[in-house]
Amino acid sequence: MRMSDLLESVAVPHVVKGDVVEGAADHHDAGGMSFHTPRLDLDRLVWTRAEPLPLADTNVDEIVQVLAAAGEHLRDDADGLLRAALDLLCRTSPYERRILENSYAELWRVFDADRMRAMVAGELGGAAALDGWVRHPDGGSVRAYPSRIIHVLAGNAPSVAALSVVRGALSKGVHLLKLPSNDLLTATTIVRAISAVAPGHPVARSFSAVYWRGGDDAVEGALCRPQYFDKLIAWGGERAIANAAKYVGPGFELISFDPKNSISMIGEEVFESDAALRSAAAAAAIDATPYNQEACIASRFQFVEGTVEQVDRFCAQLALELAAERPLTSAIVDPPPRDVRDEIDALAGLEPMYRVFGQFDGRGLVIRSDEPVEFSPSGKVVNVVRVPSLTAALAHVNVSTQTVGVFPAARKAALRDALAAAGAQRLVPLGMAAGGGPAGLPHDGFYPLHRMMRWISDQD
Amino acid sequence: MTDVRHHLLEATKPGSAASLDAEELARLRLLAADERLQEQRRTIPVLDTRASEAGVSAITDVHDLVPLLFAHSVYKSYPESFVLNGRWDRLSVWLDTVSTHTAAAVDVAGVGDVDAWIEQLRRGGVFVMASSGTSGKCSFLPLNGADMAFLESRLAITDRAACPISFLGPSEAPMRVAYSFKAMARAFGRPGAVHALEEPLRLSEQIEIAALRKAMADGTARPSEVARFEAEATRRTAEREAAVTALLDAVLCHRGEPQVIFGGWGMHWRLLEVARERGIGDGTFHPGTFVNFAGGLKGVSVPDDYEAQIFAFYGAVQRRVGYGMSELSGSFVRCPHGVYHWPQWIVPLVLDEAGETLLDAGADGRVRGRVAAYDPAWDGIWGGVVSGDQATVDFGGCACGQPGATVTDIVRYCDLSAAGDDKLTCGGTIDAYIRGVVGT
Repeated sequence: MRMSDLLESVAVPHVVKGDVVEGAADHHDAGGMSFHTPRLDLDRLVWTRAEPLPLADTNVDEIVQVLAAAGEHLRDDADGLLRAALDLLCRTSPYERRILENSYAELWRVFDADRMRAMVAGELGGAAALDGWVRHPDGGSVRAYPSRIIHVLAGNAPSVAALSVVRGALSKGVHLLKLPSNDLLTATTIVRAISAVAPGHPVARSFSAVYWRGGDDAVEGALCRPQYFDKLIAWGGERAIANAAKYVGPGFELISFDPKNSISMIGEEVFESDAALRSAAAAAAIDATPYNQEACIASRFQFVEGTVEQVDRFCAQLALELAAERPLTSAIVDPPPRDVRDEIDALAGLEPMYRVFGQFDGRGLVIRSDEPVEFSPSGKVVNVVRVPSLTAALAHVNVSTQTVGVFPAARKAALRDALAAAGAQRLVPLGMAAGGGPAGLPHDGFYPLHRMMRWISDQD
Repeated sequence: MTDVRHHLLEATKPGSAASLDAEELARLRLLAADERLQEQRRTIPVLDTRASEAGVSAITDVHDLVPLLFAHSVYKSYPESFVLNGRWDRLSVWLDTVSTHTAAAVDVAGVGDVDAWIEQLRRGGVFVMASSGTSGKCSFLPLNGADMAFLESRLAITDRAACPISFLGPSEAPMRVAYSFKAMARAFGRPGAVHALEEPLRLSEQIEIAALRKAMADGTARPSEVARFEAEATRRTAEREAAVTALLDAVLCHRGEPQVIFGGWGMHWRLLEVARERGIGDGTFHPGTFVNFAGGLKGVSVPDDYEAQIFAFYGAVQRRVGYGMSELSGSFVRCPHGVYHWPQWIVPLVLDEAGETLLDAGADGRVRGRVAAYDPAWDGIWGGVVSGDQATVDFGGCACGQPGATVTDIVRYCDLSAAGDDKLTCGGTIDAYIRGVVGT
């Protein structure tokens, strides 16, 4: 850390029910950052059950319009707030500025009106149950009623905050966003954009975004109660989820975006031609490297069908491809930590049982083995596991396996039932792990918007 | 042994008449480190790889050492499948990548489990020191005969009239403390009054835990297997309880005469508890008693002031409180000022948390960070190691008058991170919540 960072305390504003609150009453040191925030007023962070929710009488069309306008506001960033969030993130983020710029440049697309409508259609079958009571074909009515939700955000990608706000607004609930210490400004900036385009609008009044230290029982113990909130959405680390879980009880539910890993499955077809090998290795490298392999969608283990000689050819080509700079990947990343380097060196000493391609120069490294290594590969390190057939890889799939990239894509159909049974949640053609696909698909095995609702029935 | 190393190790031997000033010590330690690098990079493959990658061909400055240090985890860098599948030949090949040994030359045909593998290597002159973490994966530190001889030359106490000696743990174990205990018992243990837990430590039990965890992660473990395993662990614990109590009673029986007691804090606390159950109060031990304290609590729950209570329980005896790590040949002994003294022959290093960058001491001579060291005493392994501990190291000397660096406020990084950090990301490692926590 630079000395200037130590000396300079960053002002982190809060947003409470759409209003910006500034102040320096509380000082924090967290996530390698020194910053100050206004004093938390816990009473103002709850929406009492005595009053109707701000969005109770607003229809989805209007919410989509407000969000879309906020998206344009973020795209243009005339007030420079998003740039300020980016600047701050650059100070603590492990990523180079170019990657963060690319990431922020795409942020507004989350607010695309067509995507949001597709999300509502895909997850809830349309806006009807959000906007009113829907007749059940066999009698009675059903409504998707909004919830009061605390969101414990993750800070590794700004899209987490954007998606949380979009889903939150579309659900018509009220939302308390807990800022992560590794991204202190993005969520507030998004909520401020809503206030900027629609001051005092119910969408704006439905959001607060504040910081407290994660795990602070004085705050979480007071807020995480069914009297105030219905659900807690937790993103990220095992510890954060475990901490959140202790507040779960009757009337207070946990929606967890668990920590996940992703893998690739590459069939013997890859060795049918040099062109196939080259294109599959490029696609495999694209899947392995988003956010320098820190993202949950980044492939860490790649199971390849073939002989040792064939798989080694794939590894060599993959190591070359890993070196490339990509929109969300640096050409050179920090080398793996010392304990992982030691472990890889030890494996290299066991050749031919294991073989290592590449160096600890941050350009990318591939370890070929007959079974997965025991550490979690990161920082452009891929473990290529040789398998006699792709079905053998199923033994290494479990509920923490999120995305599975398959080559050739035609083999997905034969694998998908077994992958689902083993615990995996998402199949993509190899190379498409970071491709969002259409809006309204499930995430981590469930429909988030659907889970955010309370489903109420009215029987005849 | 080369002249520089020999001179350094002899001159820093406790009770040595030679006195080296700080500058000369530092110079000799670096010279010894360079000598070792030149010799050992020919025989330790991982060291050679590391030196080539770092472009370090000679050690002329402490900074040259930093890229050559091994993480303490290097001694468990083997693929766990070698152990779980009983590939002892492969485990021996791995051992040779992190040491100067030729373990692979030792015939391990017919070896049935990890304990037999360690025993077979011992017969072949490779002394594997093992330790296990909560994960069940063991680390294997391979020492050779010269290393064992060095350790025996630096025992905590050597010159003493025959007396009872006890180790509050298993004396048959692939652990440094067990070897040291046996050496001391041979030197001055009174026949018939040498006590320890007799049942040998079986690493195979640890391996069973690891195997079960893997089976759980793979989804192949059946609930009944998990239940049976836990019942078995409970049964073993109960069985051992009787042996532990018998051992502690033996120690208490000798408290009216001078005796020597070695043990970890957790076991000293157990001794206190048993004594209280027997109605034995504080301060009943003979003043000629020597008590060595080391290691952790090992899961024994104690009050915050356990140390003061234990000291009061023993009363006015000779105490030696040590901090050490298995990767270093000497232990850090606490002086009356409450700080641990760095063994003189070992290069003290303090790194940043990542273990990559050497930190300089502040104006007051102190610096806090990750403890690392270079130990020229080792012959069978490379002496450069980065520990898992955070501590404050004081290069400014101690009021007690002993020269050299001191260490205080030691905490394990793995305990620190448990304190929680709200720096969240969505990418995760498959960990306890899926693997399940078994047998911890």
